[in-house]
Amino acid sequence: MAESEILFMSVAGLAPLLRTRKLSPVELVRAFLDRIEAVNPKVNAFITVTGEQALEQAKKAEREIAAGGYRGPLHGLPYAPKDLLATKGVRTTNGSKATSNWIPDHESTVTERLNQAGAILIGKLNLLEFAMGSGQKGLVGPARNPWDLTYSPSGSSSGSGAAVAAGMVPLAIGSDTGGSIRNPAKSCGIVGLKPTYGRISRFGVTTLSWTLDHVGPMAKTNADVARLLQVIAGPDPRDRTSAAAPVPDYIKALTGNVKGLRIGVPTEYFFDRVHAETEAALRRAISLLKDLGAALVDVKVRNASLCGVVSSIILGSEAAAFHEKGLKQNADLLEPLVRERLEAATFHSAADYIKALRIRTVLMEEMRRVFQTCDVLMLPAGNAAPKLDGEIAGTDAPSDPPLPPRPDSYNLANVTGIPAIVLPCGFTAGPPSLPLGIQFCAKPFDEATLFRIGHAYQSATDWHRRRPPLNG
Amino acid sequence: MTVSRRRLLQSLALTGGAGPAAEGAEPGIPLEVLRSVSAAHGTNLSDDRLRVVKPVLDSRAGQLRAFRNFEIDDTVSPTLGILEY
Repeated sequence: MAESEILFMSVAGLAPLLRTRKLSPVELVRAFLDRIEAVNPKVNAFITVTGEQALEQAKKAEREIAAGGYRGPLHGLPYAPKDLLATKGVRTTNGSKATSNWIPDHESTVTERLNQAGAILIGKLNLLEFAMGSGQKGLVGPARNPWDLTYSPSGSSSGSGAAVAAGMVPLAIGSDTGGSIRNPAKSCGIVGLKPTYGRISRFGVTTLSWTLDHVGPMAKTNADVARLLQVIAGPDPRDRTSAAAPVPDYIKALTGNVKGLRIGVPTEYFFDRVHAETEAALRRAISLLKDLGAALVDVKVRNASLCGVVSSIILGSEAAAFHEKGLKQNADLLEPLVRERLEAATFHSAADYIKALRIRTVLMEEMRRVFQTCDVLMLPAGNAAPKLDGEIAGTDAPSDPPLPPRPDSYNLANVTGIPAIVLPCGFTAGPPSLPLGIQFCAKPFDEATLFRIGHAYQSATDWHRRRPPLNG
Repeated sequence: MTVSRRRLLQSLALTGGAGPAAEGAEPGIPLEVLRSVSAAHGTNLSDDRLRVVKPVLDSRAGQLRAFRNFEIDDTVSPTLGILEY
């Protein structure tokens, strides 16, 4: 089998080959390491590559599978987490000079569960410093969008999006506080899931905002994201915010059947900043789902315009509290934009913070009402990726205004804790032709319905099969 | 640095610590006010740093006004996690 074919195969395609020993984990890991060596100098998605360790693990997986000890669909498959998940004995930088030499003495729950499932750590992925917003150069320079290297992959899980899209790793982990999984998934043409708050343990994940942070899977297909969630979801006594809710069999949701599923389509606000080309792609996607049997329902999300400011106050206040010591002792090591954001956040009052948490309650009640009228809510996933140079301009001399408003279509799911998935749904006419994405949200702990709609959509389209024009 | 009660209340009002006065405030927050608030919060940012963050705070003024004007029913409590459906 050609190496280029292996690099872009899904878990569904690779796992049977590994299980039946038609493909060796060693061969697979070598193929991805070769790919990383060839394209990472251009894409800059990896901060650390754990080549030797990965090959050792691959040999171990090969022995286990040969001896009849196949652990499941991730056994022998490489993965890479955003470099703010602690990996025992492997440098974890948080994308920051302040922690650039940190070697954790513990393993995050997510990477521990992946390792136990037989997945193989192949490296650590680039990110924006401490996952804090957009517009930074990052510790090792910015990751670049594989669809056009002069464009941003979006952030803050920039390396996760770029690495999967470029065929450097089949499975990645990101974190999402205000769209940081979904935005790069959209910009890179892959699938990204922000799960329900509490669905995935955050133990060993560097905090940005305790009540808005989520860890989640990123991969080329909806089905691969489902397989990844299956392994990493579930309660964890080491994370007091992790939920006790049972984890269903997500693979059972991959039926391709959306007959009778009610898709809520917002009638106002969310499309306000959406380009005509993006909106056309979204309308085509929901029209296709309607043809497949889903029902479209007009919905209005009251007070949606407050999501951005509520998120900004909660995130800023919690981030400033988390980084209090760093601001006092190592402020000069922070990127100018990150330092500026954290210092500005110290001016939020406690009354503002509490009010933001109360508006969060109002918005949660509103989503409860919305989900009485529909099963999933469709939202835009922002416009196509921005130019990289434009996005990081002003990093050394902070821009004015330095906090461009994020698309509120992302913040709604973080503020209310509901799960949300982004799927590729088209490309801009270009040039360059860049990926576009569609977002679906569901009730808390109903990721299965997101996978159901995602599978139906990807069974009827081929956006997720396209490859960026990137040669080694 | 000594901060008078009057100046502190004025400062808190301008940065959102007190409602009614903030409503009538100009969008640009004077540097001396930020200096007072920073002292009151114990962060004691230098004037150089205050000049950096001032545009950020000024740019948020309109958004924060809408936030502060939003009225919530007295029965609504803060939520940190999620609501069960």
